Amino acid sequence: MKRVYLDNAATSFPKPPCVIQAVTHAMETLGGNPGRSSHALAREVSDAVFETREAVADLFGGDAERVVFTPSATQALNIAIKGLIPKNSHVLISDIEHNAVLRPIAALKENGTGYSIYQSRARWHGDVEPILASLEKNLRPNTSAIVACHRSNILPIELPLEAIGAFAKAHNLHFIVDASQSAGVCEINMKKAGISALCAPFHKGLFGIRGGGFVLFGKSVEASSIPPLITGGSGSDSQSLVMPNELPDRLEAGTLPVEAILSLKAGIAYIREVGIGSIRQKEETLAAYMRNRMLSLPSLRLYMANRQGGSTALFNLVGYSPSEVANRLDEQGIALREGLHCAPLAHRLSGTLSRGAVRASVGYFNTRDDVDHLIDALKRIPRR
Amino acid sequence: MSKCIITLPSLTFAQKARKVLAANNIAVTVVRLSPEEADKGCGWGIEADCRGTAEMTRILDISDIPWRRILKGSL
Repeated sequence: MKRVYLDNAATSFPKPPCVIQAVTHAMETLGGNPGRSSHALAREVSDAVFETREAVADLFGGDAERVVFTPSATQALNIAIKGLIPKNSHVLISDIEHNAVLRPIAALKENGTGYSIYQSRARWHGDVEPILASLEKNLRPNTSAIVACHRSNILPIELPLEAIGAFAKAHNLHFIVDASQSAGVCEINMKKAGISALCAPFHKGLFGIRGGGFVLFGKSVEASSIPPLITGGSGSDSQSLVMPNELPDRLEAGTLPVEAILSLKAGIAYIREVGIGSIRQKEETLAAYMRNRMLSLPSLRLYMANRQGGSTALFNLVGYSPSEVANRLDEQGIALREGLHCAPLAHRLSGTLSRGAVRASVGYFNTRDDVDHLIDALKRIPRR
Repeated sequence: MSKCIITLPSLTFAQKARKVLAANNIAVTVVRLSPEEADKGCGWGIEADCRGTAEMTRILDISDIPWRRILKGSL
């Protein structure tokens, strides 16, 4: 049975061959612990980690020492949100935020910090002014930060970072960006967009393996003001009972996931070789093809069907629950994801919060043949 | 030739310093500091010919690399 992977918004698959080679190389030859010992193996792996920091910084227009590696994008977002947003303040978050943002933001309530939701809906028509108007409307005297999910994980919505960043700068606010669905696919420049903290996982559009993420802090952020989420060994200032003041050591307690980090380095090299623009164009063209083909199925309801862009299609089949559809497709070799996708706000936008939906998400390595296979499989599900 | 160590707050800054100095045709080696050499225990530095430390620290300053101090005659 042909297997078709259409769950790239959860994690990209397959990985480029150079990524697999990088992980194998790390496991076979790079035996040291980076930033700890000073023997040749440790030096070699430390240099490889530094080169990865540089690759991340170069890709997003930041500084290598401000790249903090974390176990996931979720942890990166927790560091940024809990580290930059003060007590008794207020935060603006978009209406497409993932729970990786929503839950840490909600947890700030214990510190007296609340939040308001600004609307992304207007962006569906390509106009940034209504978004800025929504930000202005929800702004309060104690607002300290704006959080933006750059790209929805379920809907064809992409927030205009530079416009939002300019608004944040004009109001002296931190600007925290969740680039989980856009890093490696969309051009992002920390300086142009005025980003205070950019968070992303290794294993989605950046083609790395699971087990890593990063937060890249902008120059405007004072490193010593960020409280570490976890504390422990950093390989530096070991007589001190507190974490060092400098990044990245301050926020990187414990041994780094070397294999994952080196997979990220290889993934970024692959992206550089192919070109972000080419990746984006291929994914968006294929997603548009997928959504157009879905529209030909009379029992399928495609949400935000009039929208272009992105790499996802959110749908339901009349008479079936989302899990029934996913199971029937799984039986035919199609891998995709049903439910709420940890994105209750975006599901509220699409009117699917109570019921959920099925998401097909294409990646760079998918083909039209994969999409045709999905459509054929959907056609084989009996109508109810 | 005597060697000096410029101490830095982290390995990452030591690596960045090495790169910045290499771009200025100055070769240095990243070294791990003993607890006696580091300010608060373990630490990192760059080792080079003592005669070049003034120029090196000047380059580090303009590159926003926060060096801590110079340990002389370590070798």
